[in-house]
Amino acid sequence: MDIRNLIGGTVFLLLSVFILIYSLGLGIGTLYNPQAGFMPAVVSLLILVFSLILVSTALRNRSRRVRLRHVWQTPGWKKSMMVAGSIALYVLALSSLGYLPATFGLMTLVLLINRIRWWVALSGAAGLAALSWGLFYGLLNTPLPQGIWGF
Amino acid sequence: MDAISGLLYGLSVAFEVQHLLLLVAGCVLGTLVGVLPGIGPVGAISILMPLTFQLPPAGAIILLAGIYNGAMYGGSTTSILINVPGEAASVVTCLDGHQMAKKGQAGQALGIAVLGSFIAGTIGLIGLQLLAVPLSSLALKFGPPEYFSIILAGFTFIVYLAQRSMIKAALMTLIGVVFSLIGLDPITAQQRMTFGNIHLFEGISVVPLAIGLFGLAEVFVNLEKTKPVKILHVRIRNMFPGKSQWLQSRWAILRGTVIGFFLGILPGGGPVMSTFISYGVEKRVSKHPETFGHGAIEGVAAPESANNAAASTSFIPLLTLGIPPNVVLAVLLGAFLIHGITPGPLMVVEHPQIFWGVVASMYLGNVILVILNLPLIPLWIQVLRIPEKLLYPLVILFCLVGAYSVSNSVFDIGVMLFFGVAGYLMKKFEFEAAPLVLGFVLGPMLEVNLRRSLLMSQGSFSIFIDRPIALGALIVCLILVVLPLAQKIYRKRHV
Repeated sequence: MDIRNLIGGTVFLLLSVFILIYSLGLGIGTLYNPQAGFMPAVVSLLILVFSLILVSTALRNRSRRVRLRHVWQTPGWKKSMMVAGSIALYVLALSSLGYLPATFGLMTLVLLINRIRWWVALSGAAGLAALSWGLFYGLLNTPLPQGIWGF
Repeated sequence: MDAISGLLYGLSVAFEVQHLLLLVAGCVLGTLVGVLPGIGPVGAISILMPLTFQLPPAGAIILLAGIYNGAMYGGSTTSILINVPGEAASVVTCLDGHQMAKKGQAGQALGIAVLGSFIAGTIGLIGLQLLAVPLSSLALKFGPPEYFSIILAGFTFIVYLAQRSMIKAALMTLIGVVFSLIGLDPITAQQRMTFGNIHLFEGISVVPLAIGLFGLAEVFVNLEKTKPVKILHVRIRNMFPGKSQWLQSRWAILRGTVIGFFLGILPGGGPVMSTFISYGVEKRVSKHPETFGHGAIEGVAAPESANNAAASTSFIPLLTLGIPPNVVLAVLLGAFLIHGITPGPLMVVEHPQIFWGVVASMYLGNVILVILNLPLIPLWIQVLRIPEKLLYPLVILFCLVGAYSVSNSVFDIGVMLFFGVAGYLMKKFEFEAAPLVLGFVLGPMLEVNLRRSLLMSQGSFSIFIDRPIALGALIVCLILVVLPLAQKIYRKRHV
């Protein structure tokens, strides 16, 4: 059994049920006059059918065995998730801190996660933040978030 | 305007200094993107799209088209020299290209890849130039039933040509359609799946979605890799293949061009699919199939020609029907719309400067890319030596600013992160991202045309059968659904 198909199929199955219920709330209308819920309902029914096929195929196919630990066997996934977490923090802090400090902080974290020496990480992060600020704010006039310090 | 006068007009646009500089910049950036493993043309175009906001529309599209074509050329360099494809359309080139490099024929492999790409790309462009105007005229006669059926046929092709599971590809396409439904209903303006979030009222933009799925997700996947890339130490002496190698490759280039030409037009086909098919065909027709995988020059010439022909002809459905056949063109459609231009049958009449300017700049781009690629290969090899530890933070930074700049919204960075993590998990669970983006881009067109058709026919599906083009497209859908099922039953009975 391929656990990836079982998990993937189940997630989409649940999602399709949610969209179907939601679309009924929007109002499907009639074929003569389809309403806002018409398309979500049609699409969710199709997702329901395909995810059921995926789940049933995963349960029936015993020749291909893939377990969850096979999917996560590369140790580097933690590094990827740490970077994703750092970006999530960045999203939360960007508006209040401003572009330069928030980007400096994010780049420092990302470089440190990549096992770059701390002094290289700090100087590299400062350089990258300043360079991108100069390119996008200075040259291309992109209004980057200013934050409490105004930069 | 006929094809010849259109091209001459386009050349006058492409030769403007600003456009020429943008074209060279696009070709260089595209080649760089193609050379560097990790970020492909979709990610690069999405990330760099904000740089074009200050440019006039023609210049912006010329730059982005240059990136696309450049990536097709540059991808072969890493495939041949380090056995790591720079982007998906160069995966097949690794098989024989790297073997040739190991035998001391790196120069010839790179040379045949570049020259084959040039020939195929140019033939593809001639097709684009000749077919675009008649197709645009034909498309003017299309109504909602025709558009709905053609888009549905497109979806069926995407699923049929999926690189892995067709069921998974169908699911991804439908999930893409679901994401496209977020926002206001296009006919009644009722809120759908916004959950009261003001940022979702206008729906999700294709740029943060594509940057997440093809930029950030790639970075996450590459961060997992623990081993640094090994570059083959080769001396590139002669970049031009010898007479015998030319003779050996000439039919491979031609067959690759024909395959790429047609697969480029088909939805879901595109450069990646064409490389696999052309390689398979070459191996089948070869008198020495045993040499494939051991440095056969046809194994480099055919896929590299196919992906460039496909890259050129994939513009045909976008520019004439407004329907992107592959994921790169789906993102390019987003760029067109951001610049206030709607690709479709009226584009050649309403925006001849952009239409013919882009076609002509692609001709010029092909020449520039040959000039750039042959002498600059030693430089691209040096680029490959940039440590990934430093490269990926830079890519992340461009992803962030790229997602933010579309509408100057921090929320879009969150959207990009969501799709970045989703894309990473999709790779882990072997779900393809390309059908999702195509479903997302084509979803609104599918819905509007279906609902308009039903309104026109007062709820009767016979409108799709009464009109020949719509019926033809639906028959294609039916064949594509029945064919794999029939093949499966046949195989079961005969095994």
